[in-house]
This record gives sequence, structure tokens and C-alpha cells, in this order.
Amino acid sequence: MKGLKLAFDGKGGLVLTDQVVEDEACLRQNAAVNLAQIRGSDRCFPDKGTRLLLAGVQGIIFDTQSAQHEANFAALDTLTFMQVHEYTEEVAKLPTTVTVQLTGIALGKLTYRMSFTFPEAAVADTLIL
Amino acid sequence: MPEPSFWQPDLVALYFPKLTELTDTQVAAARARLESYLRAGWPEVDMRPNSPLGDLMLTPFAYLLAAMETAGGRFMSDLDLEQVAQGKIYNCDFVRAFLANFGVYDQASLQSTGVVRLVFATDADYTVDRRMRFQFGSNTFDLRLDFPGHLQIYKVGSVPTLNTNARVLRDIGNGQYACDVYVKGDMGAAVVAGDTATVDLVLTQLVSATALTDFATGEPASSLSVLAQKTRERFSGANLCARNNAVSYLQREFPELLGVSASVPGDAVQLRAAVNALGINEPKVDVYARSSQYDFLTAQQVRIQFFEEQDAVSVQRFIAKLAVVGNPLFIKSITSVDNPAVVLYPDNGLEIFTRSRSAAKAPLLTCAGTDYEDLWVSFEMPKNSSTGTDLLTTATDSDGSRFADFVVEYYYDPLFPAISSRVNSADVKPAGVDMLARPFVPVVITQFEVNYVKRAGTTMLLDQAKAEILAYLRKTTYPDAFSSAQIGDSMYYAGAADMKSIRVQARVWWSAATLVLPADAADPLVDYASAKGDAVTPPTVLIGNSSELALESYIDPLIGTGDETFAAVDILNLCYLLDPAVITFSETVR
Repeated sequence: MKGLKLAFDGKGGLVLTDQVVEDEACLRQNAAVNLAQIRGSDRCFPDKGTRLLLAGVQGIIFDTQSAQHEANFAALDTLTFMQVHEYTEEVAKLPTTVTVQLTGIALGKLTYRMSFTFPEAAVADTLIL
Repeated sequence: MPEPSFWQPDLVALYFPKLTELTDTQVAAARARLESYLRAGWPEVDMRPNSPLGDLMLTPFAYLLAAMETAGGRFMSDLDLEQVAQGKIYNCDFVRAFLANFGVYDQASLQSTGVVRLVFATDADYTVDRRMRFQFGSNTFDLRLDFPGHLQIYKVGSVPTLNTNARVLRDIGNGQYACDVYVKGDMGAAVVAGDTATVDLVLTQLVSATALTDFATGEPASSLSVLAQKTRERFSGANLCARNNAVSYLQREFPELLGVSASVPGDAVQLRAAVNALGINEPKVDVYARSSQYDFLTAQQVRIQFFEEQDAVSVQRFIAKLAVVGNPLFIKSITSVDNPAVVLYPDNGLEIFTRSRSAAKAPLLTCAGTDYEDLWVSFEMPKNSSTGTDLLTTATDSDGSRFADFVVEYYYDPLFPAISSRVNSADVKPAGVDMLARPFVPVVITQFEVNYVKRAGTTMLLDQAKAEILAYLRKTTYPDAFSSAQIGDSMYYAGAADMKSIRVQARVWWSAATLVLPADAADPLVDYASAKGDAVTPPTVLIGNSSELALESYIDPLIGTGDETFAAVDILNLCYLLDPAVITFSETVR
């Protein structure tokens, strides 16, 4: 599976039209997009996205505990979404776990580290919201 | 030739739904189908949700696909006349052009039509070139003639050959003679009753050519949805070969018709189609038609001779063959010119005889209101009830006969002869089928009193209610039957809280006549006593309440006897005739 590469710079995603990502990298950046997307914002997929960004904006996240609490739900929602909407022939390649770990909290900025356990290897990405 | 605008439609503006009109289900389904379709070609490309291609290309395209599918459905809806008939139209220009392909209205009938009264100073025969033009302001009209040859106008008393372009002059008093002709043309400014035309050919003795009624535009006043419905009804055929086809044909030829129906062998009211020795009905079709002017009320002065005796037998009656311009549906009254206080009404001292000019074609009452009907009027010299003296003075003409002048007030349909002529035109008449155009049988309403309840303080819009009721009664025609519920609706809209009852007095008038003469009966002008003896009184069908207005059926019970009149009415040939003044209201305040 191939797709265009996305770069996350802390201000959003940037599509790099000259770079291609494949297989697990595709899954990882798709998962990151899902994690940061507000649930219900896509009319095609009502279950797409998580509450994480909205929780941060609305003040539901106010300390490290609540930040991690919301992140755990977001990770679970993302994994579930991927499992539901994956092509049948690609399901075996999905990560078995998705973990979102809070790495930093500052005014107007939350930093999470997103980790995946694939059947073959574990990979981690860092996502700044 | 410039291309019509609907060849290059603005699809987005005309057919595309707004994005908000698309449902989530539509968009999701479109995306799934699009993804499935594209993956067949590029299985390795990531188009899953959250992927750049999936979210930034596929999802917007899914909206586009869903919108195009909706637009395609709308375009097909414009082609589906059932949808158009229900008023679902997205591109009116296209639908109008599309309907034109079916020829809902042909070019001839799209022209404006009207009736022109020609008045001559001399009673004589005239030949009018069929190319003669009538100019009403900037509007030019041609004669509408359904048979070959020029228009022949014959002097008073002539009997023209049927199914030809012939008219007979009628004496309208003051030394003038008139006949009606039918014209068609393009109408820019409206031509209204009383407008005078100039003609482009010299016609000696022509005094005037005047529009008798407001001209019909010819443009169907129908919306596109109504046109579509008509197209669906007519596409199966528009000719005179079958009941529905005959109806469709005449509606197409005369868009201004208010009612049209046809009776075929087997129908209760089709009495002309006798069964032959083989048990087969003769192929006869009666086409009933009435225009929007079917209740045109007009008055004409006529001269009626007073007979003291006939062949040495005392008569002492005014008798005349009724020579009025139109074919009367109902004679409202006959008033003396000399003494306007003397007014005679049908069945109230006034006898009106009818006799068919062709017993084979239109026997007995089937000739009513058609070109085959002859009418005579007869009444005694009105007397002063206390002194017994004559109320009228008579004059004596050069041959010594006594006469008096009267004004005949009667209802007739000015367009009916044009319809009749069209039905009998060799161009459209089905081979082997005996066609007869007939007017609808009028139920003359003399009382229509609506008893309603209103709440105290409510202002009733009775003028509006009256107009609506009148319009409803005029337009109610086959296949619809009268319904009191419609009157109730009008009353509710006018402010009534309830409608208690409708008091109705009405009578079916089979013909303008009160007496029917068999084909071999004597001419009342020659032998009144014998004619009176031969005359048969048609059945009297009175209507005393509103539910009876929806007259199911009444067929002459004496058919097969010597007293048969061929009176027949049912929903196929029933219409209502009334003066607006007979609609009154009775109020109860609660």
C-alpha cells in the first residue's frame, strides 16, 4: 500500500507530493491523522476521529492525568477505526496495539508519543497537538 | 440557427443539489463505490479514510459523484412525464421543448380563435373567399373552414347542405341579417367582444364584422405539469376512432374546451347505435363538447307570425320557425318588443317544438343543439287576465299576415358549430364511423341557496364564495361529478364555520324545446293542430336537492314505444347552466 507522505510540524499536516510512504508508514500517518481529527467532522465516516483535540480546546484536559486519560480513549478509538475500515486483505497487517503517551504539556501545546505494535515490529511516532 | 439555451445547460445551477441536500448515506455510499471502482485500477494506492488521497481527493469526489447521480436522476425526472405531471420540474425550458416533440398542441390549434358576427344589410346569398382576412387592430385572422371551397352564406330560410362551409343568415331586426363565422390567427393584443374588424376583400352589403365573444388565446393556460399529464393521456393516440382518442383529439384541436367526452356503442346514453340483425352495434360515436363560452347568453329580435287559422281551422297563436344565429341550448325568455311587460317562458305558456332534420343521423332529441335541429315557437295571444283583451298589437305585412316582433333571449355555445364542423371534416373523420358532435345536456339551475353557519363577528367573503361556486359548477364535467364537498370548501374559505345544506331547484333540459316532433310530424307553421297532436313531451327530470345534481343516469323509459324521445343523460354528457344571480346564501349566526 502506497500513499503520499505527510509531515507534521506542530501546526498541522503537510502533504509532501514528492515523497511516498508505504505499508506500515501509511498506517502510522493515517492513525495520526485520525487521532488529531475531531470525531464527526467527516460525513462519510461518522466514527472517524477522536475527542482528543476537542477535549484540549474545551478545557476538559487540564492536567497530565486528564491529558493521558483522553489520550487513552483516543488511541483505542483510532485502533478500532482502523480495524473497522481496513481492507479485508490488509487486516492482518494492522497494528495489534496503538498507544498514545503524553510526553509534554505546556500552555497551548500537548505533546504525545504515538506507538504501534505491529505483528512484526513496534514503531513509535511523536505527535504534537 | 442559434442553439437553444437548454442545449448547454448550467448543470450545477439547474440540476445539482446543494451540498447540504446530500445525505451522509449518499456521500458515504458514493465514496465506497468510487473507492471500489478506483482500487480495481490502482490496488496499491492508499485511499483509506485518513490517507491524503482518501481524504483530500476521494471524499470530495464522492460529493461530486453523489451530486451528479442526483442531477442525473433529476434530468431523467424531467424526461419522465409522470414526474413532470406531479409538478417536479427542474429545467422548464427543456421540458417545454421536450413536450413539443409529442405535439401536445399542434401549430393550428396554438393559434388564437374566435367567433366573428358578420352583419349584412341585405338578405341575399354571398360567397366569401376563404382567403379573406379580418384585421382587429394589429391582429390578423383567417377564416377557419373545415371543408373545401369558399364560405357560402345563404339568405334567411335556406337549408344548407350539411358538412359544407355554409352559413345561413338570420334576421336580427332593423333590416339586418347576421351569421357567425370562425376565425383563427395570431393575437398580440387581446381581441374582446364587440371589437370591430376590417376585412381585406370587398364584400357588398357587409355592414360590420364584430367579435362576438372574447377571443381565445389558443395558448394552453396549462402549466407544464398539466401539459405533461395531457401528453401521457394522449400519446396513446389522438384521433376520433375511440372514446379517449376522440377526447384527446378535440382537446388538442380546441385547447379552450371546458368539457369533452364521447359515447360509443354500449354506453347508456348512446341511443343512436341500434343493434343490427347480426347483433352488432352500428359504429356510431357521439362527441359531446362545450367551450368556455358554452353559457353565452344573447338576445335576438325575431318576427313571429300570428295565425288566426290554418286551412280553415282556428289556431289563434303566434307560430314561427325559430331562426336565431346560434343553436340554442336553452331559451331563457321571449319578450314582446311592443309590450316588454309580456314575457314568455318555456313551459309557461310558451311551446317550443324540436324536430330533427335527419332522423337517420340524429333522431329525436339526439339532434338537440346540433346543426340538425329545427325549432319552432308557439304561444297564444297574451290576454289581459281581467278584461280578456289582447296585450299585443300586431302589424300586417304585404301578404296580409299578422305578426309581432319579439326578443328571444337564449344560451348557446358560439364555438360549438366549429367543433361540429371539425368532427365532420373529411380530414379527420374515421372511415365507417358515424360521428355526431353534440352539446352537453344542460341541467338548468334556477335556485342554488347555500345555508351556512358563521361565528358571530366573522366577516364572510360571499362574493369570493359565489365566484368559486359558479366557477366550480361551470367547470364540473366528465369525468368529474358534482360534489357538495367542493361547495363546503368554498364556504369554509369564505369564513363559514359550517355548511348546513344546499337548496337546489334545477331541471334537465334535453333540448331548448318543450315538445319533440317525430320525423314525420307536420310542420307547425303548416298544421299546428296536427303537429301538436304528434308531439311528444320529453320526460321531466327535476332536481330538488344538491345530491341529485350528480345525476347518475337517466334514460328515456319509453324507448321502443311511439312516445320515445331519446332523452338520455349521465356523467358523460351532463353540464350545469345557471345565471350567477341564482346562487344565494342563507346565514345562521352562532
